[in-house]
Amino acid sequence: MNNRQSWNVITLFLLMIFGMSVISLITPKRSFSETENRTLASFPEVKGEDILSGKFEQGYEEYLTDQFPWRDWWISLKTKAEKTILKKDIHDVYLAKDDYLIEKHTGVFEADRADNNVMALASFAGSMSERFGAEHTSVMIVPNAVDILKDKLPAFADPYDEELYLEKAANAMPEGVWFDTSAILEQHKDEYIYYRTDHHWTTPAASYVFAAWAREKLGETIGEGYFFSQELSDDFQGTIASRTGITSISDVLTWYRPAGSDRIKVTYPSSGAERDGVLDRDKLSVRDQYGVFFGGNYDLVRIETDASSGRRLLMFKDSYAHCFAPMLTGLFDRIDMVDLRYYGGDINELIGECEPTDILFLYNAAGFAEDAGVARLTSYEGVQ
Amino acid sequence: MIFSSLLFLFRFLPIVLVLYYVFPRRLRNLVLFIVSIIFYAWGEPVYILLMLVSILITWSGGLAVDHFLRLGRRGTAKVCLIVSVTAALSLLFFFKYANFVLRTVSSLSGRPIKLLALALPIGISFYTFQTISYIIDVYRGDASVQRNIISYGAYVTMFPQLIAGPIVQYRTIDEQLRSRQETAAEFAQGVNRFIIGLGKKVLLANSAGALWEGIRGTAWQSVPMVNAWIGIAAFTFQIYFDFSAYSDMAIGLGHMFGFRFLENFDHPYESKSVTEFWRRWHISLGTWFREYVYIPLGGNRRGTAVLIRNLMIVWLLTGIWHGADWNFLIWGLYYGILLMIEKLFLSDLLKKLPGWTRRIYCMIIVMFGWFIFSASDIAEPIGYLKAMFGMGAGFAGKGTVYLLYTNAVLFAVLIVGSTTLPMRAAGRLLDKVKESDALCVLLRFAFYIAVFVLSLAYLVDASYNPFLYFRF
Repeated sequence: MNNRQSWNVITLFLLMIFGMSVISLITPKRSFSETENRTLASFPEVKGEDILSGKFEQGYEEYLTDQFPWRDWWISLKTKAEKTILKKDIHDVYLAKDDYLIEKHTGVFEADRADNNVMALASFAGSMSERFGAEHTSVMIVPNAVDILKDKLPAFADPYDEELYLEKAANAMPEGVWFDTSAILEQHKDEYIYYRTDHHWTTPAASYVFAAWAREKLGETIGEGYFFSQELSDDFQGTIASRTGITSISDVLTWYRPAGSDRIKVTYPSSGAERDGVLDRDKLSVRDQYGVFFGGNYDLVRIETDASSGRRLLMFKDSYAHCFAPMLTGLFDRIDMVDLRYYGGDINELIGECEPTDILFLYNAAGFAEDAGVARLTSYEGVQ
Repeated sequence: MIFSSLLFLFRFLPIVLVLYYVFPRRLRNLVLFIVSIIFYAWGEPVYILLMLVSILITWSGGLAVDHFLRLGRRGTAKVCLIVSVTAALSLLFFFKYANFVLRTVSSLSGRPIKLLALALPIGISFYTFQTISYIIDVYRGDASVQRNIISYGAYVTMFPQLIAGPIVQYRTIDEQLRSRQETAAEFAQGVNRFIIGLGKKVLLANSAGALWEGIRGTAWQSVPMVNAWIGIAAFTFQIYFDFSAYSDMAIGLGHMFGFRFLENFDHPYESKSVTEFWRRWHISLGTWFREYVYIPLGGNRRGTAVLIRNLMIVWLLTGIWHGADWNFLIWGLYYGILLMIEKLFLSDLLKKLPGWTRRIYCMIIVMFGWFIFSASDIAEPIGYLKAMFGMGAGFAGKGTVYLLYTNAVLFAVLIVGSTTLPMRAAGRLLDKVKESDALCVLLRFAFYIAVFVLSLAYLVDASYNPFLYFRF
């Protein structure tokens, strides 16, 4: 390098580091990332002890990374670079065929919690089955896309086989309560049963399972005319899209409900809030549109219907149940949905209060294996 | 603080550059000293005191050694030397090895011993070795005494090399500490080196590391042999690109402040023997042990028995320098024995073989060495070892093909990147267009911007950006 070249190089370097420094100082700070659907770090509190312990420094670095200008652009640039060098998985997500983004769930099913949750659920389901009868108790653990959509995975991809875990769970459950959803979804695997950009199953997928379950457990035939369906959004970009920074794919979000009944009251006992109907349409204008069902995750959601069936359902669930629950409103007078991740109350009292005729567990496999709340089931008095 | 972070690039470095260049020359060592302390204190403020104590001990030790040498009292100077080196080593021993000794005693005696609640001060092995090199250099007359504690403090704490080397021998920068000329040519060279280092760390080392992390996190019973070796290969590249990248960035930053540190890595994976590998890997550490341990012990000049003893001492020390754990001792011993075998007879034999077989021989030894080195990061190292010999999940599986084709490009870049090829190609290209400044600048700009922008993308999406030398 001669002198002129040197000065050019120095100028470029100083422009890059000083330029980005200044831009990052003047960029307005954000408290929430719509794309990633999470709260971004804010400037940490300046406290003597935090500086000495290194907590402040760590907080500041998180703040700097989270608030870096054009954050979303950088993340999608990285994803593009990874794709260019033929990477087929990014952040534990497969870049699968037909524009599918499919979570791998690496390590989830090998963790101790995965087995502990099966045991906790098995003994609780045993107590429920004794109390309400096996025909009124159902356990559904729905396989994730990585299991059902195997054909769409990149060539030679070799993720953990969820069926092994589901088989273990099925065998652990008391007689007559396990409801196999894998076989049903398997029959429809060429249809649109999982979102391309989100970790949930689609509403049609839930409807197949619902119809089969209602026939088997409730003796109800769900015919063509049972449902009223409506498209809610065609630009849904879910949690997996956020994680990978891929914004070129969108999903269609639909809603199924019984064609007849529409008078539904939804209450949230912990806050006292109420809503007519199951939808929170405001959520369609935010990034995570899946929240349109019931407004997102709550500890306890109560649905009252005018079905006059004499049935009452207590459901332990994760968000896979959110598109499923509206379909139930034609068959049950009252549905109580408990999310064990957030529910802090006493399960015995809850059962006493709801007076259910039927009990349903509805989880997705990875969510169930990872759920820290399932262990609370052991607090039920019938379980030691 | 680590170089490959937004904090360093867009807060620390710009401020330091401004401060360094707005102050007059005579204050620049002071600036370096102060900002280096802040650099070190970031995240670990308490241990600054330890570092300052260490500086004070060895600085006054140096003064005393010099004082008695001037008086012609070599014996007393030697006592001062021994006292201050022992003091510096005791701090290192206490903070780095005390718990290791306690754990060993406890497991041998079967009695539980309460461990000391000590975190290992980052960089302590690096700066302790620098302080020792200073006193010995002064004692030997290889360097003159540094009366200015600011300049000495700047030498020990200098942030470019503070936490991951290279280990700068005092005499190599004695002159530069007293008077140095920062020039545009040198600064530009520093930029070049720094950006190369940044790219190596963020784009190459971290990608290789993420691959290794995934494989070592899998239960060994389900790891086929090929996968196990892909994992070790990934770690082999991770540690090289990571470590040499830190040295590149250190050398580059040094240039920006007018310092010329010696090279620390010289494409070690091109070596044709283990002996050659260690001449090209972490050169500053090898030099340190050679000059301050191996040669004083008599090196190879006093017969085979002493040679063997010396090799074993040096390599056990080298091993344990890398971390207070058994696997590092075994790793050191492993290289001690291999180097001894090469010295005694194997190198003569090797010379008769074609170059590529010698390279393969060397790489297999090195890769296996990295397995031992990383054993404390593997949940079940013995299981992993079994997997490496096909006793995990057979030879290969469906997942092997997946690993191979999704990482083929990465490995190609890693392999080519660890040879001298990119450097030579770039040299030839720039030589071809050297008549045109504009073209040279254009090529350089394209490269720097591409590496810088991509590195930023990987840093902002900071899922994996480890610091590997917290054990050193």
